[in-house]
Amino acid sequence: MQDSRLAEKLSVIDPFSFNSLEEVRDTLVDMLDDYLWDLHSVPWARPGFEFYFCEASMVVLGTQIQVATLSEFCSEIVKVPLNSIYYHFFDARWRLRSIKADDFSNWIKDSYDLPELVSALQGIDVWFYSLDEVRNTILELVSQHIEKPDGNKT
Amino acid sequence: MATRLNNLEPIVGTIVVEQLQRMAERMDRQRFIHINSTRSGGGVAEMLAQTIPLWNELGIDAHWGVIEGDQSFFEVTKAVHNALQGFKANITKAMFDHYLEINRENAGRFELDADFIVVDDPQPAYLIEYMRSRARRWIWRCHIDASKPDRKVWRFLREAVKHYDASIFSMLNFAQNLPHPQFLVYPSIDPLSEKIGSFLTKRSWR
Repeated sequence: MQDSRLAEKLSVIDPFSFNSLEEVRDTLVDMLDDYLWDLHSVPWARPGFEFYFCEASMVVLGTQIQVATLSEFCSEIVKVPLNSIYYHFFDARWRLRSIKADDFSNWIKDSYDLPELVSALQGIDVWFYSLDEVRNTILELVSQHIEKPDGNKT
Repeated sequence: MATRLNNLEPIVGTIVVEQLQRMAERMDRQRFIHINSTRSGGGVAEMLAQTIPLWNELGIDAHWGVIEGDQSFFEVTKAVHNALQGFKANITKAMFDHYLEINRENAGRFELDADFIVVDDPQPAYLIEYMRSRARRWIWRCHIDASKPDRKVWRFLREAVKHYDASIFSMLNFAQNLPHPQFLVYPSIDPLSEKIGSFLTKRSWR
């Protein structure tokens, strides 16, 4: 639609700063409504440049990899596909309805008394890293904990 | 003997092969039949020649059926193909009738029943009219750029396609106004095909 200003406004919305996808939608609608309010006519996309809404469904498959300790977690997290990292670390935020929650830190919170590690994992900036880097950062944080003198029990 | 999966593994990685195997397990006891208009020549035949054996290797009960037709039939389907891509085509009622007749004749030739019948492109699209009860679900896959189809031809084809349970298009803007779910499957290449193989020796895939 040749509108880079509006495009930039929409692109800086951080979906992970909202508690639900409904809130993300409401924000997008509000932003577009605000933009249209000041215009005398509604802009049109040229034929062939329309926006096509898609619906997406996720197929979730077990990887047959399971771990019972943090040491096993470190040795196995490097073997799972990156889409597994996406599912447990990004998708979990919508699934668990909490922007701070993910499956990894939830598992550690439920299985161990390690609030510092949980908070470090929850503090990973999801915008700053690629999936591969997220995996390495998680691995680094958990490994650092294991290497602590009192961390080898996990 | 090296299998297709063995050959794919160094290219796509173990993780992808394992994902395929786990997804195939979910297809347990489902029978698929793919139907197109030619056993060789053209992208669809190339694709099916590779995917049907791959599906079988994964344990999926998949078969490949090909319709038969005379020269007049394929002249009509060529005109339909071009019209779907937006070119003007002069297809008479007699030509449409011949197309329907060949579809009807072919419907009598298929003996297998299936859970899913996937029909590729317009040539066999009207089979559903004559053998709907032979499969639980019918899927029409359109490999053609149908973003601006000729209105008359699309209206004719839509009469059959609307009876399918789903359709598959290659691009978002090829999708049409249809009364069933439309899925998007992007065009893909087969790294094991001879065409791609020579390219593969020169490039790294990952």
